[in-house]
Amino acid sequence: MRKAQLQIMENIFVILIITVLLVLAFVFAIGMQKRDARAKQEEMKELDLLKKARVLDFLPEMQCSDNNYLNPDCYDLIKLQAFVSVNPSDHLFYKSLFGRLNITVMVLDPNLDATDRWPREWHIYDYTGGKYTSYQTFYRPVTLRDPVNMTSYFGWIILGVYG
Amino acid sequence: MNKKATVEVQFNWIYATIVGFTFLIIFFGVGMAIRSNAQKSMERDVAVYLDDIFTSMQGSENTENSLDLPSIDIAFKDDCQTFNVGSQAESIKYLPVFSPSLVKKKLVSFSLGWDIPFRANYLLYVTSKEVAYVLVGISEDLGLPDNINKEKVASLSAFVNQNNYKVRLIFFEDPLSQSLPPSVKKMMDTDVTAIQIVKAENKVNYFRKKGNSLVSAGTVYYADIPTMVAAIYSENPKIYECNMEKAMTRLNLESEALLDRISIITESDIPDCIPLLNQARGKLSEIEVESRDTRLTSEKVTALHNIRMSLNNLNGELNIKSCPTVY
Repeated sequence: MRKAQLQIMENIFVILIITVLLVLAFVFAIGMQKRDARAKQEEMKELDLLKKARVLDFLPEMQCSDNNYLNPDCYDLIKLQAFVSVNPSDHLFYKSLFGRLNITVMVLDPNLDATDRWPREWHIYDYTGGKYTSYQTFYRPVTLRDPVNMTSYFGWIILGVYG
Repeated sequence: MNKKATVEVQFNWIYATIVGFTFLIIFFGVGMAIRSNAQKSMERDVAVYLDDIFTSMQGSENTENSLDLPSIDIAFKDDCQTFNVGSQAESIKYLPVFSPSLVKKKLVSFSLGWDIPFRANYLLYVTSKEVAYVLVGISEDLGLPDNINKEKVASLSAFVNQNNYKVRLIFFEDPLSQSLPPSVKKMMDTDVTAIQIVKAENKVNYFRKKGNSLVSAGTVYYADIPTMVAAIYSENPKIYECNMEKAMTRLNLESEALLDRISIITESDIPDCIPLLNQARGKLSEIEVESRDTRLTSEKVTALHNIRMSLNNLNGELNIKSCPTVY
Protein backbone atom coordinates (compact mmCIF):
# COMPACT_ATOMS: atom_id res chain seq x y z
CA MET A 1 0.00 0.00 0.00
CA ARG A 2 2.79 2.34 0.90
CA LYS A 3 4.54 1.44 -2.31
CA ALA A 4 1.38 2.26 -4.22
CA GLN A 5 1.07 5.61 -2.49
CA LEU A 6 4.68 6.40 -3.30
CA GLN A 7 4.05 5.47 -6.94
CA ILE A 8 1.10 7.82 -7.16
CA MET A 9 3.02 10.63 -5.48
CA GLU A 10 5.87 10.09 -7.92
CA ASN A 11 3.49 10.46 -10.86
CA ILE A 12 1.97 13.59 -9.42
CA PHE A 13 5.34 15.22 -8.86
CA VAL A 14 6.52 14.38 -12.36
CA ILE A 15 3.44 16.00 -13.84
CA LEU A 16 3.76 18.98 -11.51
CA ILE A 17 7.36 19.59 -12.53
CA ILE A 18 6.50 19.26 -16.21
CA THR A 19 3.67 21.76 -15.73
CA VAL A 20 5.96 24.24 -13.99
CA LEU A 21 8.51 23.94 -16.79
CA LEU A 22 5.83 24.45 -19.40
CA VAL A 23 4.48 27.51 -17.60
CA LEU A 24 7.99 28.98 -17.43
CA ALA A 25 8.48 28.35 -21.13
CA PHE A 26 5.10 29.92 -21.87
CA VAL A 27 5.90 33.04 -19.83
CA PHE A 28 9.24 33.34 -21.61
CA ALA A 29 7.56 33.00 -25.05
CA ILE A 30 4.96 35.67 -24.16
CA GLY A 31 7.75 37.98 -23.02
CA MET A 32 9.60 37.49 -26.32
CA GLN A 33 6.40 38.14 -28.28
CA LYS A 34 5.73 41.33 -26.33
CA ARG A 35 9.24 42.56 -27.09
CA ASP A 36 8.80 41.74 -30.79
CA ALA A 37 5.42 43.47 -30.84
CA ARG A 38 6.93 46.62 -29.31
CA ALA A 39 9.75 46.62 -31.89
CA LYS A 40 7.21 46.08 -34.68
CA GLN A 41 5.13 48.98 -33.34
CA GLU A 42 8.16 51.29 -33.42
CA GLU A 43 8.92 50.19 -36.98
CA MET A 44 5.32 50.86 -38.05
CA LYS A 45 5.45 54.30 -36.43
CA GLU A 46 8.61 55.17 -38.39
CA LEU A 47 7.06 53.85 -41.59
CA ASP A 48 3.98 55.96 -40.97
CA LEU A 49 6.15 59.05 -40.42
CA LEU A 50 8.06 58.38 -43.66
CA LYS A 51 4.78 57.91 -45.50
CA LYS A 52 3.45 61.21 -44.17
CA ALA A 53 6.66 62.96 -45.19
CA ARG A 54 6.40 61.46 -48.67
CA VAL A 55 2.97 63.02 -49.20
CA LEU A 56 4.83 66.29 -49.72
CA ASP A 57 6.50 64.80 -52.81
CA PHE A 58 3.20 64.43 -54.65
CA LEU A 59 1.53 67.80 -54.27
CA PRO A 60 0.89 69.45 -57.64
CA GLU A 61 -1.13 72.00 -55.60
CA MET A 62 2.10 73.56 -54.32
CA GLN A 63 5.00 72.30 -56.46
CA CYS A 64 6.73 74.28 -59.18
CA SER A 65 5.53 73.18 -62.60
CA ASP A 66 7.43 73.68 -65.83
CA ASN A 67 5.05 72.61 -68.60
CA ASN A 68 3.72 69.91 -66.31
CA TYR A 69 7.11 68.72 -65.13
CA LEU A 70 6.70 68.89 -61.34
CA ASN A 71 9.80 69.50 -59.26
CA PRO A 72 9.39 67.86 -55.82
CA ASP A 73 12.07 70.11 -54.28
CA CYS A 74 10.62 73.37 -55.52
CA TYR A 75 7.51 75.15 -54.31
CA ASP A 76 5.72 77.92 -56.20
CA LEU A 77 5.20 80.93 -53.90
CA ILE A 78 2.00 81.98 -55.62
CA LYS A 79 0.63 78.44 -55.52
CA LEU A 80 1.40 78.38 -51.78
CA GLN A 81 -0.48 81.59 -51.25
CA ALA A 82 -3.43 80.33 -53.31
CA PHE A 83 -3.44 76.97 -51.56
CA VAL A 84 -3.54 78.66 -48.16
CA SER A 85 -6.59 80.64 -49.28
CA VAL A 86 -8.33 77.35 -50.22
CA ASN A 87 -7.93 76.46 -46.51
CA PRO A 88 -7.04 72.76 -46.80
CA SER A 89 -7.46 72.19 -43.05
CA ASP A 90 -11.22 72.50 -43.56
CA HIS A 91 -11.42 70.12 -46.50
CA LEU A 92 -12.28 66.48 -45.83
CA PHE A 93 -10.23 65.49 -48.87
CA TYR A 94 -7.03 67.04 -47.52
CA LYS A 95 -7.70 65.80 -44.02
CA SER A 96 -7.82 62.28 -45.46
CA LEU A 97 -4.73 62.94 -47.58
CA PHE A 98 -2.53 64.54 -44.92
CA GLY A 99 -3.98 63.19 -41.68
CA ARG A 100 -2.79 64.66 -38.40
CA LEU A 101 -0.09 66.97 -39.63
CA ASN A 102 1.11 70.50 -39.37
CA ILE A 103 2.63 71.82 -42.61
CA THR A 104 4.44 75.14 -42.53
CA VAL A 105 6.62 76.69 -45.20
CA MET A 106 9.25 79.16 -44.11
CA VAL A 107 11.44 81.41 -46.23
CA LEU A 108 14.99 81.18 -44.98
CA ASP A 109 16.82 83.28 -47.51
CA PRO A 110 18.10 86.37 -45.70
CA ASN A 111 18.38 88.21 -49.03
CA LEU A 112 14.68 88.16 -49.70
CA ASP A 113 14.30 91.38 -51.61
CA ALA A 114 10.54 91.29 -51.83
CA THR A 115 9.66 91.21 -48.14
CA ASP A 116 6.73 93.47 -48.86
CA ARG A 117 5.36 90.98 -51.31
CA TRP A 118 5.83 87.69 -49.51
CA PRO A 119 5.31 86.68 -45.88
CA ARG A 120 8.17 84.84 -44.20
CA GLU A 121 5.98 81.93 -43.21
CA TRP A 122 2.93 80.14 -44.58
CA HIS A 123 0.82 77.94 -42.34
CA ILE A 124 -0.49 75.58 -44.98
CA TYR A 125 -2.27 72.95 -42.94
CA ASP A 126 -2.85 72.06 -39.31
CA TYR A 127 -5.08 69.30 -38.10
CA THR A 128 -4.60 67.59 -34.76
CA GLY A 129 -7.65 65.34 -35.00
CA GLY A 130 -8.41 65.84 -31.31
CA LYS A 131 -5.94 65.12 -28.50
CA TYR A 132 -2.37 64.21 -29.27
CA THR A 133 0.30 62.65 -27.09
CA SER A 134 3.42 63.39 -29.13
CA TYR A 135 4.69 65.81 -31.74
CA GLN A 136 7.65 65.25 -34.06
CA THR A 137 9.09 67.81 -36.42
CA PHE A 138 10.90 67.28 -39.69
CA TYR A 139 12.70 69.95 -41.66
CA ARG A 140 13.18 69.68 -45.37
CA PRO A 141 15.07 72.24 -47.44
CA VAL A 142 13.26 73.42 -50.56
CA THR A 143 13.51 76.06 -53.22
CA LEU A 144 10.77 78.67 -53.19
CA ARG A 145 10.16 80.23 -56.58
CA ASP A 146 8.43 83.45 -57.53
CA PRO A 147 7.10 82.73 -61.06
CA VAL A 148 6.34 86.39 -61.81
CA ASN A 149 9.77 87.84 -61.01
CA MET A 150 11.52 84.56 -61.93
CA THR A 151 13.47 84.53 -58.67
CA SER A 152 14.12 81.70 -56.23
CA TYR A 153 14.76 81.60 -52.50
CA PHE A 154 15.85 79.04 -49.96
CA GLY A 155 13.26 77.79 -47.55
CA TRP A 156 12.13 75.01 -45.23
CA ILE A 157 9.11 72.81 -45.28
CA ILE A 158 8.42 72.06 -41.65
CA LEU A 159 6.38 68.93 -41.19
CA GLY A 160 4.94 68.42 -37.72
CA VAL A 161 3.44 65.02 -37.03
CA TYR A 162 0.92 64.59 -34.23
CA GLY A 163 1.02 61.25 -32.46
CA MET B 1 -3.31 -7.31 -2.59
CA ASN B 2 -3.84 -8.26 -6.22
CA LYS B 3 -7.08 -6.33 -6.24
CA LYS B 4 -5.34 -3.25 -4.84
CA ALA B 5 -2.59 -3.52 -7.45
CA THR B 6 -5.15 -3.78 -10.24
CA VAL B 7 -6.99 -0.72 -8.99
CA GLU B 8 -3.74 1.17 -8.67
CA VAL B 9 -2.61 0.39 -12.22
CA GLN B 10 -5.99 1.29 -13.64
CA PHE B 11 -6.04 4.53 -11.68
CA ASN B 12 -2.56 5.35 -12.92
CA TRP B 13 -3.58 4.87 -16.54
CA ILE B 14 -6.77 6.89 -16.16
CA TYR B 15 -4.83 9.65 -14.44
CA ALA B 16 -2.11 9.70 -17.11
CA THR B 17 -4.70 9.71 -19.91
CA ILE B 18 -6.62 12.62 -18.39
CA VAL B 19 -3.48 14.66 -17.77
CA GLY B 20 -2.03 13.83 -21.18
CA PHE B 21 -5.27 14.78 -22.88
CA THR B 22 -5.35 18.07 -20.96
CA PHE B 23 -1.80 18.86 -22.03
CA LEU B 24 -2.66 18.06 -25.64
CA ILE B 25 -5.62 20.43 -25.56
CA ILE B 26 -3.47 23.16 -24.01
CA PHE B 27 -0.70 22.70 -26.62
CA PHE B 28 -3.20 22.61 -29.43
CA GLY B 29 -4.96 25.75 -28.15
CA VAL B 30 -1.69 27.63 -27.70
CA GLY B 31 -0.48 26.53 -31.13
CA MET B 32 -3.70 27.69 -32.79
CA ALA B 33 -3.57 31.04 -30.95
CA ILE B 34 0.05 31.62 -31.98
CA ARG B 35 -0.74 30.69 -35.58
CA SER B 36 -3.76 33.00 -35.64
CA ASN B 37 -1.76 35.89 -34.12
CA ALA B 38 1.09 35.35 -36.58
CA GLN B 39 -1.34 35.36 -39.50
CA LYS B 40 -3.04 38.56 -38.26
CA SER B 41 0.36 40.18 -37.69
CA MET B 42 1.49 39.27 -41.20
CA GLU B 43 -1.75 40.62 -42.69
CA ARG B 44 -1.33 43.84 -40.68
CA ASP B 45 2.26 44.21 -41.92
CA VAL B 46 1.27 43.61 -45.54
CA ALA B 47 -1.61 46.11 -45.27
CA VAL B 48 0.70 48.81 -43.90
CA TYR B 49 3.46 48.11 -46.47
CA LEU B 50 0.92 48.13 -49.30
CA ASP B 51 -0.43 51.46 -48.11
CA ASP B 52 3.13 52.79 -48.22
CA ILE B 53 3.64 51.31 -51.69
CA PHE B 54 0.45 52.96 -52.96
CA THR B 55 1.60 56.32 -51.58
CA SER B 56 5.04 56.07 -53.17
CA MET B 57 3.63 54.87 -56.52
CA GLN B 58 2.54 58.44 -57.11
CA GLY B 59 6.14 59.53 -57.30
CA SER B 60 7.14 56.84 -59.75
CA GLU B 61 4.67 57.10 -62.59
CA ASN B 62 5.30 54.88 -65.61
CA THR B 63 7.27 52.54 -63.35
CA GLU B 64 6.21 48.92 -63.13
CA ASN B 65 6.46 47.20 -59.76
CA SER B 66 5.67 43.74 -58.51
CA LEU B 67 5.29 42.10 -55.11
CA ASP B 68 4.92 38.44 -54.17
CA LEU B 69 1.96 37.65 -51.91
CA PRO B 70 2.46 34.19 -50.42
CA SER B 71 -0.85 32.87 -49.05
CA ILE B 72 -2.35 36.36 -48.79
CA ASP B 73 -5.29 37.74 -50.76
CA ILE B 74 -6.02 41.42 -51.21
CA ALA B 75 -9.66 42.36 -51.68
CA PHE B 76 -10.69 45.73 -53.08
CA LYS B 77 -14.24 46.65 -52.18
CA ASP B 78 -16.74 48.19 -54.59
CA ASP B 79 -17.08 51.31 -52.40
CA CYS B 80 -13.37 52.17 -53.05
CA GLN B 81 -12.91 53.21 -49.41
CA THR B 82 -10.77 50.34 -48.18
CA PHE B 83 -8.79 47.33 -49.23
CA ASN B 84 -8.62 44.18 -47.11
CA VAL B 85 -5.61 42.01 -46.50
CA GLY B 86 -7.20 38.98 -44.93
CA SER B 87 -9.07 40.39 -41.92
CA GLN B 88 -7.10 43.69 -41.85
CA ALA B 89 -8.59 46.72 -43.59
CA GLU B 90 -6.64 49.74 -44.75
CA SER B 91 -8.15 52.98 -45.99
CA ILE B 92 -7.76 54.29 -49.56
CA LYS B 93 -10.34 57.02 -49.21
CA TYR B 94 -8.49 59.65 -51.21
CA LEU B 95 -6.33 57.44 -53.44
CA PRO B 96 -7.69 56.41 -56.85
CA VAL B 97 -6.70 52.73 -57.10
CA PHE B 98 -8.11 50.82 -60.08
CA SER B 99 -8.00 47.06 -59.70
CA PRO B 100 -9.85 43.77 -59.94
CA SER B 101 -11.85 42.86 -56.83
CA LEU B 102 -9.30 40.25 -55.73
CA VAL B 103 -5.53 40.26 -56.11
CA LYS B 104 -3.50 37.23 -55.17
CA LYS B 105 -0.21 35.41 -55.61
CA LYS B 106 1.73 38.24 -57.25
CA LEU B 107 0.73 41.90 -57.18
CA VAL B 108 1.81 44.05 -60.11
CA SER B 109 1.37 47.82 -60.05
CA PHE B 110 1.71 50.81 -62.31
CA SER B 111 0.76 54.48 -62.17
CA LEU B 112 0.15 57.33 -64.57
CA GLY B 113 -0.23 61.04 -64.02
CA TRP B 114 -3.62 62.46 -65.01
CA ASP B 115 -3.19 65.80 -66.77
CA ILE B 116 -6.14 68.08 -67.53
CA PRO B 117 -3.84 69.60 -68.84
CA PHE B 118 -2.17 70.45 -65.52
CA ARG B 119 -1.28 67.50 -63.28
CA ALA B 120 -4.59 66.82 -61.51
CA ASN B 121 -3.85 63.51 -59.86
CA TYR B 122 -2.00 60.22 -60.04
CA LEU B 123 -4.02 57.19 -61.09
CA LEU B 124 -2.80 53.92 -59.56
CA TYR B 125 -3.32 50.57 -61.25
CA VAL B 126 -3.03 47.31 -59.35
CA THR B 127 -3.64 43.77 -60.51
CA SER B 128 -2.28 40.25 -60.22
CA LYS B 129 0.11 38.42 -62.51
CA GLU B 130 -2.43 35.57 -62.42
CA VAL B 131 -5.14 37.70 -64.04
CA ALA B 132 -5.17 37.29 -67.81
CA TYR B 133 -5.86 40.35 -69.96
CA VAL B 134 -6.87 39.05 -73.38
CA LEU B 135 -6.82 41.56 -76.23
CA VAL B 136 -9.12 40.03 -78.82
CA GLY B 137 -8.47 41.27 -82.34
CA ILE B 138 -6.49 44.24 -80.99
CA SER B 139 -2.94 44.85 -82.21
CA GLU B 140 -2.09 47.91 -80.08
CA ASP B 141 -1.04 47.85 -76.41
CA LEU B 142 -3.69 50.38 -75.24
CA GLY B 143 -1.19 51.95 -72.86
CA LEU B 144 -1.02 48.79 -70.74
CA PRO B 145 2.32 48.10 -69.03
CA ASP B 146 4.49 45.07 -69.78
CA ASN B 147 4.35 43.64 -66.26
CA ILE B 148 0.78 42.40 -66.55
CA ASN B 149 -0.24 39.06 -68.00
CA LYS B 150 -1.55 40.27 -71.36
CA GLU B 151 -2.15 38.14 -74.41
CA LYS B 152 -3.16 39.14 -77.93
CA VAL B 153 -5.37 36.75 -79.87
CA ALA B 154 -6.87 37.11 -83.32
CA SER B 155 -10.19 35.62 -82.17
CA LEU B 156 -11.73 34.61 -78.85
CA SER B 157 -11.76 30.91 -79.79
CA ALA B 158 -7.95 30.99 -79.98
CA PHE B 159 -7.63 31.80 -76.27
CA VAL B 160 -6.90 29.01 -73.77
CA ASN B 161 -6.89 29.87 -70.09
CA GLN B 162 -3.56 28.85 -68.51
CA ASN B 163 -4.87 28.34 -64.97
CA ASN B 164 -5.42 32.05 -64.36
CA TYR B 165 -7.92 32.71 -61.57
CA LYS B 166 -9.47 35.69 -63.42
CA VAL B 167 -9.82 36.55 -67.09
CA ARG B 168 -10.51 40.03 -68.52
CA LEU B 169 -11.43 39.96 -72.22
CA ILE B 170 -10.87 43.21 -74.12
CA PHE B 171 -12.62 43.92 -77.42
CA PHE B 172 -13.07 46.71 -79.89
CA GLU B 173 -15.95 44.76 -81.49
CA ASP B 174 -19.19 43.78 -79.76
CA PRO B 175 -18.34 40.70 -77.62
CA LEU B 176 -21.96 39.54 -77.38
CA SER B 177 -21.70 38.09 -80.87
CA GLN B 178 -18.80 35.83 -79.86
CA SER B 179 -18.99 32.57 -77.96
CA LEU B 180 -16.71 31.84 -75.04
CA PRO B 181 -13.97 29.22 -75.47
CA PRO B 182 -14.32 26.01 -73.40
CA SER B 183 -11.52 26.92 -70.96
CA VAL B 184 -13.36 30.14 -70.09
CA LYS B 185 -16.84 28.56 -70.02
CA LYS B 186 -15.86 26.27 -67.16
CA MET B 187 -14.63 29.20 -65.02
CA MET B 188 -16.89 30.74 -62.37
CA ASP B 189 -19.10 33.59 -63.57
CA THR B 190 -17.50 36.07 -61.17
CA ASP B 191 -14.03 35.33 -62.53
CA VAL B 192 -14.68 36.27 -66.14
CA THR B 193 -15.36 39.82 -67.28
CA ALA B 194 -15.14 41.62 -70.58
CA ILE B 195 -14.98 45.17 -71.84
CA GLN B 196 -15.59 46.73 -75.21
CA ILE B 197 -13.66 49.95 -75.92
CA VAL B 198 -15.55 52.27 -78.25
CA LYS B 199 -12.86 54.83 -79.10
CA ALA B 200 -15.13 56.98 -81.26
CA GLU B 201 -17.37 57.67 -78.26
CA ASN B 202 -14.71 57.52 -75.49
CA LYS B 203 -16.82 54.77 -74.00
CA VAL B 204 -16.15 51.45 -72.31
CA ASN B 205 -18.94 48.86 -72.12
CA TYR B 206 -18.61 46.28 -69.36
CA PHE B 207 -19.80 42.69 -69.58
CA ARG B 208 -19.88 39.82 -67.13
CA LYS B 209 -20.16 36.09 -67.61
CA LYS B 210 -23.52 34.46 -67.03
CA GLY B 211 -23.51 30.75 -67.70
CA ASN B 212 -21.87 30.20 -71.08
CA SER B 213 -22.27 33.70 -72.44
CA LEU B 214 -21.66 37.36 -71.64
CA VAL B 215 -24.26 39.88 -70.48
CA SER B 216 -24.05 43.64 -70.30
CA ALA B 217 -22.88 45.11 -66.96
CA GLY B 218 -22.76 48.87 -67.49
CA THR B 219 -21.03 51.65 -69.39
CA VAL B 220 -18.46 54.26 -68.38
CA TYR B 221 -16.72 57.09 -70.18
CA TYR B 222 -13.04 57.86 -70.28
CA ALA B 223 -11.26 61.11 -71.02
CA ASP B 224 -7.81 59.97 -72.17
CA ILE B 225 -5.27 57.13 -72.03
CA PRO B 226 -4.85 57.10 -68.21
CA THR B 227 -8.61 56.89 -67.68
CA MET B 228 -8.98 54.25 -70.40
CA VAL B 229 -6.33 52.16 -68.65
CA ALA B 230 -8.26 52.74 -65.43
CA ALA B 231 -11.38 51.30 -67.06
CA ILE B 232 -9.41 48.26 -68.25
CA TYR B 233 -8.06 47.55 -64.77
CA SER B 234 -11.36 48.15 -62.95
CA GLU B 235 -13.31 44.99 -62.17
CA ASN B 236 -16.64 46.71 -62.81
CA PRO B 237 -18.12 50.15 -63.55
CA LYS B 238 -18.61 50.84 -59.84
CA ILE B 239 -14.91 50.59 -59.02
CA TYR B 240 -14.06 52.82 -62.00
CA GLU B 241 -16.68 55.44 -61.16
CA CYS B 242 -15.99 55.76 -57.45
CA ASN B 243 -12.24 56.05 -58.03
CA MET B 244 -12.77 58.62 -60.78
CA GLU B 245 -14.88 60.58 -58.29
CA LYS B 246 -11.81 60.84 -56.05
CA ALA B 247 -9.77 62.07 -59.02
CA MET B 248 -12.45 64.62 -59.99
CA THR B 249 -12.67 65.90 -56.40
CA ARG B 250 -8.97 66.64 -56.42
CA LEU B 251 -9.26 68.22 -59.89
CA ASN B 252 -11.93 70.55 -58.53
CA LEU B 253 -9.81 71.59 -55.54
CA GLU B 254 -6.75 72.11 -57.70
CA SER B 255 -8.59 74.19 -60.26
CA GLU B 256 -9.83 76.39 -57.40
CA ALA B 257 -6.28 76.87 -56.18
CA LEU B 258 -5.02 77.60 -59.71
CA LEU B 259 -7.79 80.17 -60.18
CA ASP B 260 -6.62 81.95 -57.02
CA ARG B 261 -3.08 81.76 -58.34
CA ILE B 262 -4.03 83.42 -61.62
CA SER B 263 -5.88 86.15 -59.70
CA ILE B 264 -2.74 86.86 -57.66
CA ILE B 265 -0.54 86.87 -60.77
CA THR B 266 -2.82 89.31 -62.63
CA GLU B 267 -2.29 91.83 -59.78
CA SER B 268 1.36 92.05 -60.85
CA ASP B 269 2.73 94.60 -63.29
CA ILE B 270 2.77 92.41 -66.41
CA PRO B 271 0.37 94.15 -68.83
CA ASP B 272 1.39 92.05 -71.86
CA CYS B 273 0.36 88.89 -70.06
CA ILE B 274 -2.98 89.97 -68.60
CA PRO B 275 -5.23 89.23 -71.64
CA LEU B 276 -3.87 85.69 -71.98
CA LEU B 277 -4.06 85.12 -68.23
CA ASN B 278 -7.68 86.27 -68.21
CA GLN B 279 -8.47 83.79 -70.97
CA ALA B 280 -6.73 81.07 -68.96
CA ARG B 281 -8.74 82.10 -65.90
CA GLY B 282 -11.90 81.57 -67.92
CA LYS B 283 -10.81 78.06 -68.91
CA LEU B 284 -9.89 77.19 -65.32
CA SER B 285 -13.33 78.39 -64.20
CA GLU B 286 -14.87 76.03 -66.71
CA ILE B 287 -12.82 73.13 -65.32
CA GLU B 288 -13.84 74.09 -61.79
CA VAL B 289 -17.51 74.09 -62.79
CA GLU B 290 -17.26 70.82 -64.75
CA SER B 291 -15.51 69.04 -61.89
CA ARG B 292 -18.07 70.04 -59.25
CA ASP B 293 -20.19 67.08 -60.33
CA THR B 294 -17.66 64.28 -59.94
CA ARG B 295 -19.33 61.83 -62.34
CA LEU B 296 -17.58 61.46 -65.70
CA THR B 297 -20.28 61.61 -68.39
CA SER B 298 -20.03 61.69 -72.17
CA GLU B 299 -20.71 65.44 -72.28
CA LYS B 300 -18.18 66.11 -69.53
CA VAL B 301 -15.50 64.12 -71.35
CA THR B 302 -16.03 66.24 -74.48
CA ALA B 303 -16.04 69.47 -72.47
CA LEU B 304 -12.86 68.56 -70.58
CA HIS B 305 -11.15 67.59 -73.82
CA ASN B 306 -11.95 70.97 -75.39
CA ILE B 307 -10.89 72.91 -72.30
CA ARG B 308 -7.68 70.91 -72.10
CA MET B 309 -6.76 71.76 -75.70
CA SER B 310 -7.52 75.48 -75.18
CA LEU B 311 -5.61 75.68 -71.91
CA ASN B 312 -2.68 73.85 -73.44
CA ASN B 313 -2.51 76.38 -76.29
CA LEU B 314 -2.85 79.31 -73.88
CA ASN B 315 -0.04 77.93 -71.71
CA GLY B 316 2.15 77.63 -74.79
CA GLU B 317 1.44 81.23 -75.76
CA LEU B 318 2.19 82.44 -72.22
CA ASN B 319 5.47 80.55 -72.34
CA ILE B 320 6.43 82.13 -75.67
CA LYS B 321 5.74 85.60 -74.27
CA SER B 322 7.83 84.81 -71.13
CA CYS B 323 4.75 85.26 -68.99
CA PRO B 324 4.04 83.21 -65.86
CA THR B 325 2.36 80.04 -67.11
CA VAL B 326 -0.78 78.42 -65.80
CA TYR B 327 1.05 75.14 -65.20
